[in-house]
Amino acid sequence: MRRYILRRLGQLIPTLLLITFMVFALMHALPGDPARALVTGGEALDETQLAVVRKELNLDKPMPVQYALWLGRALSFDLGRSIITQRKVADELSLRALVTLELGVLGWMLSTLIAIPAGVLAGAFRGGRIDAATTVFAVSAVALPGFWVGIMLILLFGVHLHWLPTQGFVALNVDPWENLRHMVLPAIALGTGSAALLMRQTRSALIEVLALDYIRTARAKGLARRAVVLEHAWPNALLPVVTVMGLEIGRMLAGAVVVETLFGIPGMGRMIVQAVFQHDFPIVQGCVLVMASAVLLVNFATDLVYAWLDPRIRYDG
Amino acid sequence: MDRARRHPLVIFALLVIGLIAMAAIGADWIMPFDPQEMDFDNLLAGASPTHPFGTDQMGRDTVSRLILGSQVALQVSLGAVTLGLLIGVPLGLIAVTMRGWVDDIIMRVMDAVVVFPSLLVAVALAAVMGNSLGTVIVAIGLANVPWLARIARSQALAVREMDFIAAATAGGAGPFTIMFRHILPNSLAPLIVQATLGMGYAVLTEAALGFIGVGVQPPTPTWGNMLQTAFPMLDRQPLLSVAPGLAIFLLVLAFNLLGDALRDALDPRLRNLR
Repeated sequence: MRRYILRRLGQLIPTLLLITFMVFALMHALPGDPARALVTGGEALDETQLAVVRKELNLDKPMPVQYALWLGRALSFDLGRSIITQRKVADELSLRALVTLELGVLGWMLSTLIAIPAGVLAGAFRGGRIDAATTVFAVSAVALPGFWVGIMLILLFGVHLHWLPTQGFVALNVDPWENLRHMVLPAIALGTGSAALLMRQTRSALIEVLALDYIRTARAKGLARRAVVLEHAWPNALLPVVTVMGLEIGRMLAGAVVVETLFGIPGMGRMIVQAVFQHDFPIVQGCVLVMASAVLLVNFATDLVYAWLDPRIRYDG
Repeated sequence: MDRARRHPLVIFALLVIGLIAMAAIGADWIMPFDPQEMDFDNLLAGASPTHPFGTDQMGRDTVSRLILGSQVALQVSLGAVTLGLLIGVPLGLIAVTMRGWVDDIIMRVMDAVVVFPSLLVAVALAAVMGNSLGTVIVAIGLANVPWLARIARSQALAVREMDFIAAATAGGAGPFTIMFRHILPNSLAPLIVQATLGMGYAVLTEAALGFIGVGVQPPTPTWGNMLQTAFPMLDRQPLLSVAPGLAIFLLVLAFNLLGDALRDALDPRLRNLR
């Protein structure tokens, strides 16, 4: 296992460097002078002031040097300052990232708790009513925009029933109950699409395993169907499901951008959208870097879990 | 689900895509109203024979705006997937043909690109290049590249081992002739499946971008920006928020059903799993 981890780390680092380079390059794709776009009031600066900014941000050095210096700063969590608030990007991000993390974890838990049991039941009773119902749900939910699910939830639970708040956020440490009440609808909106994919994956993984010879042997021994499905088939069917669960992080983060905007939740997603409108480029860059790194790291962790669950991966791949 | 039962779904999918495509192409002829025309006597009207899906807060006819919005939905889905195929497939094939360090570099870059969700790419590009139809297509297209490149590569690796390729090599064909004339045509099936599913995903991403305001900008109606304008009116005219959502749902559902059916048809192994 240790050799496997080391080898995967060896692949992770170049990828991480490439990602940071792409985010860095974004800055140079800005129209006009990046020095103007990266500081407060940059549009109004004259040439001497611009020269100071360029020196401060290392924009006067050759590209590879600039990248190395930028990367050095990024690694020590120095991502510059917001043009609007003048606060450090890293400080702004750390607060917002926690909110997005909570939303993501809730959405992910919700989708997993619904999708896996439903997928197992659908696969175990293939062709039955549960199977038909989950298939209809899964096929429809994948085709629905998550934020539109959110709008419909707001219509039902906010506008008509007045059961739940539909806008804003209360911090978890301030009032856990209110926090949860504010997060329920966003988490459902975020989790629906993932639930659908996970459900289909669970179902087909289980069906595939149930067709194998060792399952027939288990059945032939006279084991109960329940024991065969849960104890013999399910652990093996879990493998592809884990991969899908890990890959869902990218979709979740993209979903969070929209869902946070819809529900007025002050997370990273809403932050990046606001920053685009305010032309607050350092914030956009910081958010993109954090989100992309998060996806990469979760995918890496998923690979490790997969290898831990399935020894064949560790030895061959 | 067995194939016979899936058959009507394919017809349904083709019908939906065909109707929406016809609406997009013939928009100028079939729109019942000018989509920008404001009717101040009919603000936020509900469903009626004149306005089957009502009107918005400026009295503009929702049906006409949905029809015009279908143009953007189809332009984005076709444009993004075409761009993804044009960049991704050659990259995957070149990786297989050249092997060695070229392969390594291409695939490592793909590993890096794949961690950027298409919506995030679009938001970042909007910050840099501004909002336009072009930005949306480029962003979603770029996000499609690594998936298509990976599929092209793994297909090409499998096909390369087949006997007819050895025959072509023995016949004196060069590596690029083999790749593009012999391997590519035999690797198309999974690419077509992925492209079809990618179109559905592109429609979803475009709608999300329109909703948060970084997609194609008003006054051009898109299904996403229609939902954005409708949202503040949710308590007064819910129909305005329901209609574009249904349009998105139908088109994405159709692309997904078609993609699934193609996969079943092209990969017999998966058929047993339905």
